[in-house]
Amino acid sequence: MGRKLIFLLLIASFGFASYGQGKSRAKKRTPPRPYTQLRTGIVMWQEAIDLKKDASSAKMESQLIGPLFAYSYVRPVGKRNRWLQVYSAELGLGTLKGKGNSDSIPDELKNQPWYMVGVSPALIYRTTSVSEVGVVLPLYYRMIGWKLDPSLGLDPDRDTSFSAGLGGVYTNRLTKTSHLHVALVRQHMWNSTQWMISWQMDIK
Amino acid sequence: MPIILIIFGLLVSIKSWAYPEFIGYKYSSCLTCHYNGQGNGPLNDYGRALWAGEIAGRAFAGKRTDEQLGEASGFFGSKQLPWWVRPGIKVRNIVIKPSPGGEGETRFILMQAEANVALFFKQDQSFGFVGSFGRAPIPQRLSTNSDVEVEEWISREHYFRYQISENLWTYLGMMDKVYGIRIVNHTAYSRTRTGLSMNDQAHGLVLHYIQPTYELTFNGFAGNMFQDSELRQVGGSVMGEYEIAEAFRIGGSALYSTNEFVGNQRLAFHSRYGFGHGSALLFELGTINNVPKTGESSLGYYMYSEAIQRVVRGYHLFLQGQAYKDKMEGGRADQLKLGFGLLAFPMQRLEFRVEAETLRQLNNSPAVTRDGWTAMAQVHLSL
Repeated sequence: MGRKLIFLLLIASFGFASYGQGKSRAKKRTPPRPYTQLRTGIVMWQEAIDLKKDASSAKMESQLIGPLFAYSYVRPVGKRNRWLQVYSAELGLGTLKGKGNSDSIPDELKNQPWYMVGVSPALIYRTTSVSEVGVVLPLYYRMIGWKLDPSLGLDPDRDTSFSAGLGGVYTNRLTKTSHLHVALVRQHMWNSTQWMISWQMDIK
Repeated sequence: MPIILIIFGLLVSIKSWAYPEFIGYKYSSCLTCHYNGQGNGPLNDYGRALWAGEIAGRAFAGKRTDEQLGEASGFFGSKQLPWWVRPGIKVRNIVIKPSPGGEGETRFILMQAEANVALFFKQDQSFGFVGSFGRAPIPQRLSTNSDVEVEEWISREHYFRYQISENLWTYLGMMDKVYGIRIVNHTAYSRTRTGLSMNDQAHGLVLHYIQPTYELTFNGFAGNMFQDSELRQVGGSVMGEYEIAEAFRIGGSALYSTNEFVGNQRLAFHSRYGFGHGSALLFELGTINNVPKTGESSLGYYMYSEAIQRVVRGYHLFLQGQAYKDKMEGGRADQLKLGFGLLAFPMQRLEFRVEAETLRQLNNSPAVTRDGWTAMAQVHLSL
């Protein structure tokens, strides 16, 4: 008798639990699941890099351009899930060119390789069903693999460097899962403005 | 100091132009709001009411309904004018600060201060005259050249408009040439490099055929009759637009003109896409072929793109990307511009625009030109 009673109580409790869960579902909207994104595009910026040769020094206005890849974790938040927290890991690489600005160092450099990794937290607002605007705070570590003729005696700065920035992001959904992504970022340590244009794809 | 300059700029100026971006509000055709079916120039009664009741913010609207705002949008507010006359006044001022934070000289330019009028000879407005007269700034490159006489007081447009049938309109007189997307930014490559900027109007004839899903416009022009005859660009242009989905149009333009020194050949594709309520994407890509009577011709390209995003009623953020190359040769630089800003209509008759623009060059040479920055604030008042 005791076992039967326990069995009945168990069934009843499951029933209540299921009923309760159903009520709870009816009251609360299921939060949307976080998802991930892949992004690939072009990044371009210019910065002044110090050059030294013997006792002379100069500035080299440099232009850096190359592809940028990102993997992002997207977490919808807020009422109606119109806010998105986006955490991106980024990888960029490309080439640099520039020319010394003084008569003592008029050297020209081309095809100097650079590599960059970074993280970019962003807060994005979904303005319409197809568009989003937001702010992004990228932090990058960059290496320049200078390929120089040792006989020139040229010693450029910024073999490695960090920079943190603040920028704006705009995305527009072109298909159900792909977006055009444009960002304009002011990098503080590099004193430069990064332009980025990318193709972004949702991965469920 | 910059804040004082911006406030001064806000206090000094006025105006209203065509906004092809308003396809985002589902207004695909310029004829809906402007007397000129290609946009630009004075707004018609519907355009004024729409500006007041839908586009502009309600910061100073009080408890008035949108309908009441629309009814009070005329030149004298809600006081009705005779059906045959619609006056207007436009003033526009800009403050430009090159290299903000640097040594660039701040410039104040009164870009426009003019009166306009639309006179109608038929009550249904199917036959009328539209004209403007006012002060235009002398371009900087000409202001220091004493050999060239430039009129400061000019008429930028004066034309007769006649509706031939339900779908066909014709315009005769001095107007902007028909070509591409007629955007407000008259310093954009798509306007300055194509020869279609704020003082490049011509006397001519326009035929505008309009259907709900497509438009076709032909423009023959004999040049600006106020110019010396050898300078007048004589030719024609054509533009078509097709609505492939609601608030999504694609189009093309071609222009051919010549004077005694140079021939101009332009060809462009464009698209306008509206989404949400008040947000849009614009895109135009074209070629510029200048053919001098002596010397080599130069074939280049330009691109204009814009994303505009309505934030709240009356206030929009925008992002513009532009590109231009004068000659498609390896040694020539690609000029790139990226800009962003705020376009605001706090109330009807008042518009202001604050933006920052950066200019960058791409070329094959190792020498790199430093990024150029410009900050601008404009105020337009359109009565």
